[in-house]
Amino acid sequence: MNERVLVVDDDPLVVDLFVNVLEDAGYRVEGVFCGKDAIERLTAAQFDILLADVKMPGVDGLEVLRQAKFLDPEIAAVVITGHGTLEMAIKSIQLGAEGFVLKPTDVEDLLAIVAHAVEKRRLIRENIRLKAFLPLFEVTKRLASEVDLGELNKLALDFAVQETGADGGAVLLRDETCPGHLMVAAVRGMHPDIARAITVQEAEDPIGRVLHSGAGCLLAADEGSLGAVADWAGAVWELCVPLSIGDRVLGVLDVWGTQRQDLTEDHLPLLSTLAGQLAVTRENALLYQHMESMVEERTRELRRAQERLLRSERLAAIGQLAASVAHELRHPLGVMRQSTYFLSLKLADADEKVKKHLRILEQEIGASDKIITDLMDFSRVHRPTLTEVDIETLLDQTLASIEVPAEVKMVRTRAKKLPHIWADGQQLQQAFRNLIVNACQSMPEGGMLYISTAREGKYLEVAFRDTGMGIPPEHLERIFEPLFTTKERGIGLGLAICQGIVERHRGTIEVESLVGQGTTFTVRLPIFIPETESE
Amino acid sequence: MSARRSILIVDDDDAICETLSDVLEALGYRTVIASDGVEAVACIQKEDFALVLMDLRMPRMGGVQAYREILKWRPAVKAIMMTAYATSDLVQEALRAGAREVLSKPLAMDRLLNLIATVCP
Repeated sequence: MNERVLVVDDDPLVVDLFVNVLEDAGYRVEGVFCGKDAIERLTAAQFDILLADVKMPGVDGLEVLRQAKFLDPEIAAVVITGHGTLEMAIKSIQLGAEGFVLKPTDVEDLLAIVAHAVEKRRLIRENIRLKAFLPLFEVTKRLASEVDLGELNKLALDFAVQETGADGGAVLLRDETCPGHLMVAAVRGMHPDIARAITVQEAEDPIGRVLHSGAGCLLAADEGSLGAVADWAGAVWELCVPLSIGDRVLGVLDVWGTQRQDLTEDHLPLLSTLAGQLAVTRENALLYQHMESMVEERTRELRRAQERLLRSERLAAIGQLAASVAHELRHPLGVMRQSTYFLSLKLADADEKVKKHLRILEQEIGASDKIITDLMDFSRVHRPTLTEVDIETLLDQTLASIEVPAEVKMVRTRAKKLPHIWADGQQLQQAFRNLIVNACQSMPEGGMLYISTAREGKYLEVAFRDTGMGIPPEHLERIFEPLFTTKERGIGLGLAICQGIVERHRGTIEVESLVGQGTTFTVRLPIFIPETESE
Repeated sequence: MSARRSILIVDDDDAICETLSDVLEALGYRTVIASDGVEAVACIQKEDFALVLMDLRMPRMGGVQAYREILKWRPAVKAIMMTAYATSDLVQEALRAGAREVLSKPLAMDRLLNLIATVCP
């Protein structure tokens, strides 16, 4: 009970008595003997209770009461009167008095009335504080629905600045990358770039205190120094409260003002509650983000698994189709090829038109055969038979089996001292062949084909870069899908086969492409030694 | 005509046999057609051939077994096998049986003719 009481009466004996009685009861009491002095004291200092004699020469008690309520609407006023008339009572109550003390005064009555006035004042203040907390509940609800950490800080800060009547404020968080430092996560009433440029060290900055004490505090410019950020903002006072969860202090919620008269500790509880809410909500948001990223990752995995499943289902269907179609078609195609061959032997001297048609027949038979071969290869999902393979030799052999068109200029870049890898040479050749043929086909007008090898950590890398027409982004994701094709001819299995082969070797195949500039396929194969060898 | 340039073509697909025969005859070889392994062995018993051009999979008797039989009668006969869908086991088996080469169908004609030219000079 530390309430400050001001007693004013023109009778020094009354003042003396009241001061003694109330001081004994634990109040901090001052006594004055005229209305003018009373108003002076009320202006200079803050009192919780005013005890005023109504009838005084000069400035009377009612005037003192009026002034007191004007200076501080929350002050509890008790009127002392020897003339307890109804008229006086009504006037006093109209002016906001909480009660009366009659002269001559019973000590018990005095204490009871003052205690009652104090209680009333406490309730009023409580009420006001509760009202002040109402917006906090609102903001808490908004905080809870906000998951963006930056937005959270701003939301809480805006609220803190607004509710405390501050001119600016900041949310400062412990810098995880730079221990001992606080970084500005949000700021109001100051340019963010300036705020961020200010160094705030826990050990040196006054606001660092709240990090260690765990309690909020009021810093005033004349009672000590302000925090670096508030000081820069030209503040004269600063309220800071810790942002903490349990024992963990995350940082500081800080507001400041540039006007002396706004300086008050009253907002500390509100700020503390807000800071607590912010800290909890931040934690929740972090948790939520973590959960969200986990869910995203799982969704991606699921989608990938689904794609694989789809591919394997398609693969199985194609496999069945392939077995029957290929079986049925290989024979007639073989016959046609032989027949055409026979005709071209017999018609070696025929006119050009006939020869042209024979060539067309041969080409078309070849194209059909390619489709069938692809189908067969695709349906045959057999495990690679691993042998030690020199990738450069393998590329040489592959290139020897392909007719690279004259318009395509090929550049080989060979890495030095590449290790041998364990692979199925035939399957790899097939994969490389598909990539090279694709590259050539993407450059009907001619261009460059760069084939390079490199070692990348545990992988051996073979890159096929062409200067062809490129693949549009919307196709890029799908090019490895079976039956996806943009070619006029072909059924879209070449790259699916490549991918199948590379993946069966536990490798990866990637594509980068720019329309009009070209495409690069990069095959990475693991350089591993079979277990029997490594033991 | 001597056996040096005579070829026995064995396939259960008539059209394959016919067209192959026409091509080879146009190039100066003599050919005889058999439609499976059993017929092929019968032909070999009657006359000599420099080369058997034979499918691996046929009804009654497949190519590998037929060639083993053929070699019992005429150990000098060479063989080139053809197949539309070979498993590596079957290819290995054919090569172990002594076949010069196993070609996949549809046949690459230039490759076939080059091979034949080396076997029957």
